[in-house]
Amino acid sequence: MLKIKNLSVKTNNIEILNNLNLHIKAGEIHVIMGTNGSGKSTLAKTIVGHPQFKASKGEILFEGQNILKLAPDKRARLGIFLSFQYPTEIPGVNNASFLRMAYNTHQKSQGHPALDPLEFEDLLQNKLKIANISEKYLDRAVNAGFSGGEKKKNEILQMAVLEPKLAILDEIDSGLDIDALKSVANSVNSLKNKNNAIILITHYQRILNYIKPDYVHVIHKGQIIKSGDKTLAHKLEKKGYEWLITNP
Amino acid sequence: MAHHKSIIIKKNIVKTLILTEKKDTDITYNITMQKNSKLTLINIKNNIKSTDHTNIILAENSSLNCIYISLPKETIENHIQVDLNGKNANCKLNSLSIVNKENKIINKTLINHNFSESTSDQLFKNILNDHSYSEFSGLIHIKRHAQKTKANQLNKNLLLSDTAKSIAKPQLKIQADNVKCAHGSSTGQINQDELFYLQSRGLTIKQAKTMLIMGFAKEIIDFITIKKVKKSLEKLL
Ligand SMILES: Nc1ncnc2c1ncn2[C@@H]1O[C@H](COP(=O)(O)OP(=O)(O)OP(=O)(O)O)[C@@H](O)[C@H]1O
Ligand SMILES: [Mg+2]
Repeated sequence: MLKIKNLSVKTNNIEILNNLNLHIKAGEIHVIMGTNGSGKSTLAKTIVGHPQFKASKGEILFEGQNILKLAPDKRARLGIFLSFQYPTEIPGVNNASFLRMAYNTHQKSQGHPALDPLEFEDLLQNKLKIANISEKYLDRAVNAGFSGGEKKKNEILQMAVLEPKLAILDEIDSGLDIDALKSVANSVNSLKNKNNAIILITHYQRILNYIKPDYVHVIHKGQIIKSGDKTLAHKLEKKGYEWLITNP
Repeated sequence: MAHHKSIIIKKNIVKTLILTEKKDTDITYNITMQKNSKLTLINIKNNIKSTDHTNIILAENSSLNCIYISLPKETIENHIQVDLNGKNANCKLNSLSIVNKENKIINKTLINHNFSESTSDQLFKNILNDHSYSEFSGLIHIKRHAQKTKANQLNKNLLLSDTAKSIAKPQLKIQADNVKCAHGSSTGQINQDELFYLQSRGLTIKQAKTMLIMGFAKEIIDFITIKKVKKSLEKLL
């Protein structure tokens, strides 16, 4: 589904990702861990086409197509989704209208009919249940004044509505209370199937008690320096990053 | 041709006036609000040229809620003077202008707080495209006896092109010592982070921009509580 080959990325002429490689197949869950500033969010933002991060080398193939030149909205309509580490607040833009427009734009690009507000309302009820978020957030402006945890749940709601093929979840577990963590993990599990894939960026082993990864990667100075299975996350939790960085 | 219209809102009366000019205008409205009266004044000008003067006098306990929507052809000038002449007289002025081509919007307000314990809130928003121009001059004058006045004034401009221009001239003249007064102005283009967020969910640039522009306008449109007017306005925009 996703093939990243020798990817180097710069912002403001500083190299942040350096010759990074990553292969993801449909049905897989990949965890990415790494110290602060190692390049995890940069990788996520580069995949979805953030204008600040430009590839200076390498390619990103999504279902065989090099997406590096595609605009962010095109990539989204291909089925790539990023749950942001820090979701943007958008005052004045109604959450429900935004969700419907996003949904209908995806429908249209797949040759499906758009839903009117009432039809969409029905669909949303189901999605609200999956995301375990109250419908009172629909009437508010997108993320505006939402608490940290509410923002994360709103990202999950968007994921539930858009049903992406590839979902990148950047620290979806940061700032969540114990119940919310369980709830978000359950949502992710119920959205997971054999046709889609997930990249889960996290600092903590804790969320992996609920979401079972196929692979765990460690990123350091913009490169993946170690890959393994979920036991790697346990090892990191116990020993920290030092042992890996000094003798990878 | 200039002409005058006088309107009196009698004691204890609650009234809504909707002024939708269809032709170019040059009118002076003189409105007197008696004790305990309430007036909602909605002034919609679409694709016309106009210079209007609106002078409103408020007595004790009266409250005024003005909403100006201006889409100029050439130039629209709104001159608004409010005299708060009694205790608990409150006025709200909200305005949204959408200006294209080489058109101009000029809003000039003068709020006289002539008596103690009155309030005024002003929010003037402009969406400017192409080579358009906006000017907001607002003077808040708090007279010597007008203690415990609360006055707010804000001008916000959204520039959709590099060639649009906006000017804000806020002025405060405060002669009383126990007052709460705030004013400010901001001018900016579409927020790139907001735009990217919407795009990352699949909205085209055009859809995303429209959504953000409507979001900017919404704050003013939401002050209109009459459903029919609100609907037709949303269509217009
Ligand atoms: N616009 C920018 N200008 C300069 N440096 C930047 C810019 N954006 C990111 N960086 C740098 O790139 C590096 C990687 O940042 P990134 O956000 O990808 O880290 P991260 O692995 O997600 O960290 P964290 O775990 O703290 O979220 C950091 O050193 C950061 O300061
Ligand atoms: Mg990060």
